[in-house]
Amino acid sequence: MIKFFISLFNENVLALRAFVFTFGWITLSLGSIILIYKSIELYKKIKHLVFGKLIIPILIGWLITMYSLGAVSTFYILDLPQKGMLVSFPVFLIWIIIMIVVFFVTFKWGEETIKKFDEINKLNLELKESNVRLEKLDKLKSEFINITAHHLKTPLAIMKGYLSVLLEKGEEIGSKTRKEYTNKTFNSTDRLVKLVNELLDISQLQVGKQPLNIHPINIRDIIDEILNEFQQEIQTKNLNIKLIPTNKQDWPLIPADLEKLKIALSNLIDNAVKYTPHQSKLGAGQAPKGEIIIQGKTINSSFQVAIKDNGIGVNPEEIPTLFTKYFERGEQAQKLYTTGRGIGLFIAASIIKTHNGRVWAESEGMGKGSVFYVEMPL
Amino acid sequence: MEQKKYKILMFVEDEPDLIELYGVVFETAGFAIQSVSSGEEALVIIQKLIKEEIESPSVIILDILLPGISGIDILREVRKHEKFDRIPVIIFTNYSSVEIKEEVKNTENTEYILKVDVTPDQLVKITIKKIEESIKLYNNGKKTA
Repeated sequence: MIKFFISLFNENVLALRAFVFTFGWITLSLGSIILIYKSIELYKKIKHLVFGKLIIPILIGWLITMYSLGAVSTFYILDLPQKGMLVSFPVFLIWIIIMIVVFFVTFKWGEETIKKFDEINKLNLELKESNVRLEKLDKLKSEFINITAHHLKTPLAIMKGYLSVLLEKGEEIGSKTRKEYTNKTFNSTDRLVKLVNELLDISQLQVGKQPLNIHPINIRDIIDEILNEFQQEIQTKNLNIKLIPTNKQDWPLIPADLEKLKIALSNLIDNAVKYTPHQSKLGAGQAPKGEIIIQGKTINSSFQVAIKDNGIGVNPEEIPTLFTKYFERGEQAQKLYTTGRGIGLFIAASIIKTHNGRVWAESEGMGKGSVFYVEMPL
Repeated sequence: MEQKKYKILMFVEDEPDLIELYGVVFETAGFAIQSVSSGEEALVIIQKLIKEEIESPSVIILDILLPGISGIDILREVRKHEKFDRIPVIIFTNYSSVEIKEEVKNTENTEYILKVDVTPDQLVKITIKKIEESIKLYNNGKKTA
């Protein structure tokens, strides 16, 4: 077989010489292009590594070797008449074999290395993204602690303020004011206790530790009690409160945990009172009189309570995250919290959900009021 | 009375009990209280001040966590206008954040006080001191506003 090929060369067939010459250089050219392309691709991915920095010198080395071998082979092939095919053929054959082996090994190795580095880069990216998410969560948790500390310090500041006046000017202010200030201090203590209990409730409700004490209760009685607790703020803000239906007997009994449902509704009513400003403070013609409408109605096998206010409203994009835990609210959290909306809505939602109920909000936007809905199974 | 010269105190606070308590204490100390209970109301007042429809306060006491616009946004709005530079602002809050403390520290004629750290009498003293410092600073020609 070999002898046959050698004979072909020895016969000095021009067409065959042209073919092997062209085949060799085409292989080298195409191989070089692919090799350069693959090496650059790999270099871009791992240039930060020591090996990455070696890719270009190795590539140049390969190319110099291949082209040198090509030049030697070409010289022998073109010089056939003088040196004879016995010399030129093995050199040519070695050149072609080395080229094919080098290109094959390089491509295979290059492909695998690129694939591996792609996977590493993907994992790196995922790790970076997860790190960013954790940093954000950490920041939000710190913010949550700041806000919770603020909520706890507020009744403490009220207590400290009134107590200092009682201590320093107790005799000057008269018995009526003294009683009033003592009451305010007492109410703040209550508020603090309530807040601490609510904070404990959050964790207990989250892990389902607290069983519900379900009894038929009159939801209207709870609403009346809550409104009574907010009486001072309602009067200060001159808010108009409407209850529909007006007749107590038209409100049905619903199965619920009295204490828990009161906390949930209290948070929602507090939200409506807090975010409905005093009309006169906004200037004439700028806002209608503050109004809160609490409407209850039976829908199929549920009872729905809608708490509607004409206050500052909610940005529609904030609504989906309004009832989630503060640090799960993502981008919206900071904005919501710095404007005061806190853990109350989350607590309310957690309680309603444990009763297999639903809670949601609707608002046409900032300045257009809002409606908070609670739906409880009958 | 000496205190009369401090005249108007703009008190931005949403907590009714604190509004009442500090209202009484500051009025006793000779201040006229302009009580504001939300960020939006504060902005309306600032617009009126810019148009000079109402008399400028001698000092602003500002809570941070307010319904609607936050106190820090109100502070930024106030400090945007050079004519308010001479009005001292006391950030009076229970919200303790490093970033906000830093921002307040870098804002001229502005103080940061935690509500739980002071009694009403102490706040009155701090407020009077702050007004006096501000008067000295701007009337001695060191600053112009």
